[in-house]
Amino acid sequence: MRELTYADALREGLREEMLRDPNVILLGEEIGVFQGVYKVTRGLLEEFGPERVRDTPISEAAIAGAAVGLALTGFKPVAEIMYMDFLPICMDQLATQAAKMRFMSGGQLKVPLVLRTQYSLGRQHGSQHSQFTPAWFLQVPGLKIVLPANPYDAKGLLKSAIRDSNPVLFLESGLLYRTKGPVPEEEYTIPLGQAEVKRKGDDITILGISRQVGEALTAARKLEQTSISAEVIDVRTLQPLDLKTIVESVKRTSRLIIASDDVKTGGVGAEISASVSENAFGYLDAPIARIACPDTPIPFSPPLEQLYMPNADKIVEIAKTIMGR
Amino acid sequence: MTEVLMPRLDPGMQSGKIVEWLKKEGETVQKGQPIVVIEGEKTTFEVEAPETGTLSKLLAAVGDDVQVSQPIAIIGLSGATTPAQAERPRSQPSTAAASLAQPTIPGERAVASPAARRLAQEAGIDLSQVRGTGPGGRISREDVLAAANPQKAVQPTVPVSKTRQPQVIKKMKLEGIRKAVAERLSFSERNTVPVTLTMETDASKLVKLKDTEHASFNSFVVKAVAKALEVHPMMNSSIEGDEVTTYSDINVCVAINTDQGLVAPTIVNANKKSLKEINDEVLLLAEKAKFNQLTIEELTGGTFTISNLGAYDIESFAPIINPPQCGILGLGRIVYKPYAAGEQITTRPLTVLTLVFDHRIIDGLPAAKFLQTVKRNLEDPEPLL
Repeated sequence: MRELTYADALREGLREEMLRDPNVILLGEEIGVFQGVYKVTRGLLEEFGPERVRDTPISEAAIAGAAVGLALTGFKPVAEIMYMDFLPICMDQLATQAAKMRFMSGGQLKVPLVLRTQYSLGRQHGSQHSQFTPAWFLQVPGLKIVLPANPYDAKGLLKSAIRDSNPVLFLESGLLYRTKGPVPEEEYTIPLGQAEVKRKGDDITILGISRQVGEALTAARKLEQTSISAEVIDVRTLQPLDLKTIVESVKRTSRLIIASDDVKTGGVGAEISASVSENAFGYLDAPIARIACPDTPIPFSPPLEQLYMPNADKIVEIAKTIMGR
Repeated sequence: MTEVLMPRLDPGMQSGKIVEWLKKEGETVQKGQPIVVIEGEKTTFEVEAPETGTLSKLLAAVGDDVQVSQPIAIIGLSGATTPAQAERPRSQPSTAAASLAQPTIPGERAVASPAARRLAQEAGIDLSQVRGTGPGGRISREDVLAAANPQKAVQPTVPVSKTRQPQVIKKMKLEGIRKAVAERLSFSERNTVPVTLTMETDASKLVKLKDTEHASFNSFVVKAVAKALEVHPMMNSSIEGDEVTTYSDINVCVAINTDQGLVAPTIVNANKKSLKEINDEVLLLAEKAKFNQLTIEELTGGTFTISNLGAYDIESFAPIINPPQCGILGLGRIVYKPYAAGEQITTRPLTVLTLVFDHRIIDGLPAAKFLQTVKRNLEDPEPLL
């Protein structure tokens, strides 16, 4: 199968959906003439014209507000916010408007918008341009949260997100844009709300979120050398959460590690851990472990940032502790 | 009520083994009276009662390995009964698997994982009778399965018929001196950067003096080494972590083989002692080592070590560094060999000195100079007298 980068897979997903549905419109900062900071929208302005690929002023509130308005009036906007750190500026439009309209109108209104953004942890972008804060949005019912961890999922999940009639927060990882992986040329989509078992194992389940799926797979290979058989699951969407796949795995392995690039306290790992305890308590043979970032702002210094980030070695270490090795 | 704690008799001691209780439970003990014999890593010693009273409870049995600072007995006021909470702690935070595997005291809630509890309930197993092998002594699912089906649990994964097992004479646990030797040598092997230098030495004068002075070859070497360390203080050093310590005291350890294993008692300030004093001390230490009577004081504080296998026809050998010391000198046999004295071939008693040193502390050249000084001291031994 041919290989594409994560960025090119996203681009192909956008292009195919724009060809498929004339109501799909892109808007965001530098996405047109500049073709996107990460070149995800490369060539799309030329192909679809300025009516459908809109460069916006530097105002995240305006981007999100315009997207909500477009969605309410029959368009399928895909808005790009350059850094996840800027989402608080969109919070009112996202949490108070987009997520509640369908419910408050008794189903008369729909908000089929996709808000694409990325987090740059690991790229030395400093405290204000590196954060991964999905848990903030878990507190907003009505919002779907999607986090592709590889090029195949990036395209398949983006196409489903665009076709969904609800607002979707589509979280990309800046460190993954240049990574390559197989992407078929034929049409496919991946339904939202299905986790994927990436690797079978018997002793311990490692649930990876976004970039941490790759770290979890590396950790599983290292653990194999110490005769610990790790199962790796890619969560793929946090809302809806495929708790069934996670719980079924934990019932077999009895042990769970949740690896994520967000801050540990109040993070997504805490939420998933609680849900697994509620549904598989009698099957747990060890406390559920969370691998996440320390509770501090993200350091700019490259060595400090490396120390700060969760990685495969940290997963291996905690897996051994849990296994009593 | 006073707890008797397992004492730490040297900095490296982790745990001690109860060899013998000199007093029984319920007996009256006087402050300062020996009540128990403990085997540490280097020697055995008696522990005295810290208070006068009744030895109301023994918390460890003969053969138990107890962590330093953990209680081993309770001394109560005469006639007083032991309160219930004086029971031995259920699971100690220790590295010893044995102490973690204590079954729970009946009536207390066992530390067990949710999965273990569910399984135990389904199988009708009393968790207080299950040994926990998980982190912190936690009872795991596997522990319950093992308790439910002991035969299955002990079955090896490889069928016995497929493997060949040599006939066993006996199995013994690595403990006491043997364990201390194993741990120190493993530490040395893992952590030092040993480099070996050898030097042939003419022992002609030494062989003559040995008889006239009635002193052993070892005593001469101790003195020769001590004098050389005076000139080369960097070799009289130790390393711990990233800290190198150089000493003004020159304390030479002499490796002595005993039935229990290798020990290396110390000749303190060997550079300031006469050959006769050193000779007497080496004899005395060897005698004490033979009867396992060396004190902790006699076994610690060394700054350099010598080891001699010459009596067993060993030509030369590279001993392992005695951590945290910098250097060790291995001595082989003295034997007559052909020797070129100028153009004349003659025979002379020769011996090979083997210096092993930790290259982290000192480089090859200064180490070579040190060994050269030892050689000269031995080839012209009169000043040692």
